Amino acid sequence: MNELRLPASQVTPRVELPAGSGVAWIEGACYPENAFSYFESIFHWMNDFRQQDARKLELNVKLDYFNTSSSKCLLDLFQLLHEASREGAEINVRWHYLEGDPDIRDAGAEFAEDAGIPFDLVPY
Amino acid sequence: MTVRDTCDHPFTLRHDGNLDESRFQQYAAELRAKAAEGSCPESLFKVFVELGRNLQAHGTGTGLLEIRQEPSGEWCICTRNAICREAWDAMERRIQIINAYADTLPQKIRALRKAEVPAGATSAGLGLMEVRRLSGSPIRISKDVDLKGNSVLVMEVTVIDKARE
Repeated sequence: MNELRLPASQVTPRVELPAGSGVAWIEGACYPENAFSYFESIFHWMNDFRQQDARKLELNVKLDYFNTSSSKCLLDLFQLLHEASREGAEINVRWHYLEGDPDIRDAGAEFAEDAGIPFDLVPY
Repeated sequence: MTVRDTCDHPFTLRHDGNLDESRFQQYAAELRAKAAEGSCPESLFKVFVELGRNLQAHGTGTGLLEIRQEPSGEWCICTRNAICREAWDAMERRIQIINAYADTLPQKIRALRKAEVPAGATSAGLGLMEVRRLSGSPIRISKDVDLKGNSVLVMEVTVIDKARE
């Protein structure tokens, strides 16, 4: 499988997903014109990842703002990670939030609960 | 044609025409910068993003968007877009339901986000529910007629600055 790198813009985050196992990052703001189109390549990467034999992923998510369409896509992504975990992959999600921003911290806790996958909540 | 008028005191942004992506990003950047310097609530930027994305995805492409600060200090976002009778009826029902959720809105948003339906099918509902949650006040809608006799949906939201309460 190939790595996926998407540059940051005003409305989209920096995305770095490795070619196979490794450390991944989604960082910045996320409110693209069409969230579902934007996330397509990320979902495609996830499906490739699930088909690998030995899978280990540390996903770091450090978003300072995302809109509701993006939140739906993020939950879908975390649910795919949950599926990968059930299939035997070693998944670690680190949810970074600005200390003093309870909205982002609480969103991480909700995503973890709704996707059924533990998050490390990491203040910065 | 797109027309933009602004006035800093009191702040007014009036956009007439197609809300294309470059204009959307320009206004979003302006509002986020104003929020960062404490000149407006951050929720104003977030409400603009939700309403703006909704207009781009489900609106008719052209219309009026106005953001203004009232003499009382409250912030108001107003949109005017052409709408057909069927869409108006559906929108009126949807807004009545969303406004009635009031305190249970966070749970409703979470449940809709988690619902196993295609992502695109939930975006309009999620966006408007978030507008209601962020603004802290009911969404007001009314029907008007433009100069050509077309029906126009007028949607107005007052954004309450929780930091000033």
